[in-house]
Amino acid sequence: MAGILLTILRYLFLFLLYAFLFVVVRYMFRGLHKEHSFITVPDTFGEGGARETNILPGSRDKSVPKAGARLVVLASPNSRLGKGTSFYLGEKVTLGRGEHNDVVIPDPFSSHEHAVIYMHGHQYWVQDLGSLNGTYLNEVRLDRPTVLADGDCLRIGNVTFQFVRWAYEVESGQ
Amino acid sequence: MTLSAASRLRAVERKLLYWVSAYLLIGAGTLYLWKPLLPALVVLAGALIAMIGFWILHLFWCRFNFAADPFLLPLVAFFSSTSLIFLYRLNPAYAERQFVWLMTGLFALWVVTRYFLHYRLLAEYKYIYALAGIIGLLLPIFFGIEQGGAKSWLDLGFFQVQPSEFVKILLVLFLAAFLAENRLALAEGTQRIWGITLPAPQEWGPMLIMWGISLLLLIFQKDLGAALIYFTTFLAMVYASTARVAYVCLGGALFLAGAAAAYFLFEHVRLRIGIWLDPWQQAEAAGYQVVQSLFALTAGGITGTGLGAGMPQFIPAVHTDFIFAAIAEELGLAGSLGLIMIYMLFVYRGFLIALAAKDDFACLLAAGFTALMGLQTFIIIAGVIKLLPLTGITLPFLSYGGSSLVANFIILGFLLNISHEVQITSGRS
Repeated sequence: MAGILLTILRYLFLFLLYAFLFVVVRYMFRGLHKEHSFITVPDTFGEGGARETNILPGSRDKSVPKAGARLVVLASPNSRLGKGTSFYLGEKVTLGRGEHNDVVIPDPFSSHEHAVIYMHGHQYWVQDLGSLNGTYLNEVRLDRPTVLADGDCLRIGNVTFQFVRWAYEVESGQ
Repeated sequence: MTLSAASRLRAVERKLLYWVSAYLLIGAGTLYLWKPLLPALVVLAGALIAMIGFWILHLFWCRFNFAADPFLLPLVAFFSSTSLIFLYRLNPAYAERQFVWLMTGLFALWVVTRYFLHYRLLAEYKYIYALAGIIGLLLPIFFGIEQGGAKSWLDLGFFQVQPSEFVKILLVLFLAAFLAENRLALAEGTQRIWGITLPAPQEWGPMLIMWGISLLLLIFQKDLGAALIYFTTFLAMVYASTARVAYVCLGGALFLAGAAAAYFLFEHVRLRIGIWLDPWQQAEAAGYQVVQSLFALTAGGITGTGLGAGMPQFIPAVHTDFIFAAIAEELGLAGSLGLIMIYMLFVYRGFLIALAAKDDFACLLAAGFTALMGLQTFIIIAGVIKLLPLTGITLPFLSYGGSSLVANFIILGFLLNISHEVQITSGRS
């Protein structure tokens, strides 16, 4: 009798080990879900307008740039470069992990001097500066300077930007 | 906001602690039935008191709205329960002493979470840690006693202390403070030599000196396991702070060179490698421990022989380094895989805390402690199953050993404090 009880208890012990594992994982999963929604709530709040605007060199000296455009952060895992931040583009804007860049990308997959966006012939061009992990325009890796169009997605590491041309600029500029 | 967040977290902790309590009591009940002739009520009483210790700590945190991670305490309670059950099963005398150390560890955890909440102040005294660490490692060389081939113990009358277990904490504190201050310089480099940007000597010098001295001292004490953990934790922290693979490659190359040198210089290293490559050749002599451990793993099968039904007592040092072999024998592949998964969950929570941390010091501290824990678990389990050469270190929270247990509880306290701070500040903003 005691032998049977002992066997049952032994299996129960092993069962409880897995029951504990299961309960822990379930709570962790639930917590992940909650943390995720916790993160997205303030971001949807800020989506109506840019949370922060950075005026970059080049755009300041001209009161009305000929062709204005901006980069909006669509996704960024790092809080230093928050989602919804927008950068107004001037004549030439450098992107990278180094602090000297116009747009500092605090991402481990970004190179120090990662990419450059410059104006040439009333159009914005993006060029990869030989970065290790590449610059992706609409998820295609850049291998030559490419013209940016309104709505293009530019991804560097885990950070995704959207390129936005100012709508009124098209009307007043031409 | 913070108030409800804290109580919500503690509620999760409470529910998980119920499961751990059930686990511990079923285990203790099994042991009671297994040998009811002994004054076996001791095991039930010990299990109850240990659990009450965890519950008191939990209630204390509820009272003070401690908003730390709710998973770490139940996970550690689970490890401690397993530890008590298996040590009692192997030798009740060890379980009684481990019980006392567990109480000391819980008290240390209480002290850390009560009085070291502002752990950030600790970053100011990094060179004191370096000095204290080196003294801690020097002491056993002069006043130490030798146990199990390593001269790393201090005899304090009625109990013995292994300073290298506590120096681990000092090493991580020092490295976190130092790397947080010099992170950018190390990551970017300020000088260009042969086309590679390298940082200036004053940025990496103190770190390398501290680390080199501790490694030399450990090698001098023949404490290879601790040396290996120090080395890998160091590399993990440097990589976490700089994200430069070059440093890891350099460290790996240095490690290989050092290992080769040790192989030719030291007899005991050659012996260890020989056992690792072929324990069967000397199964009756030097390879006995590993061979018995492999037999135990085989005897366990899928679901194990059942608690108390195996024969792990043939493995030398089964209560410390080889406790994993005993668990694998009696709980089988299923139980040991479950245990490894629970260790992985611990490491996962630790890195989540590091990722959420507010600044470099907190992040590196959490990442360093977590890496230390994970690497130690990996190295000893790999040694027991003959995946790596055996190095005598403890399985965190499970092996018998007071210094190791108390040091691990202090580490746990720091991880909890870091997560508490994250919760408090994110709740306010």
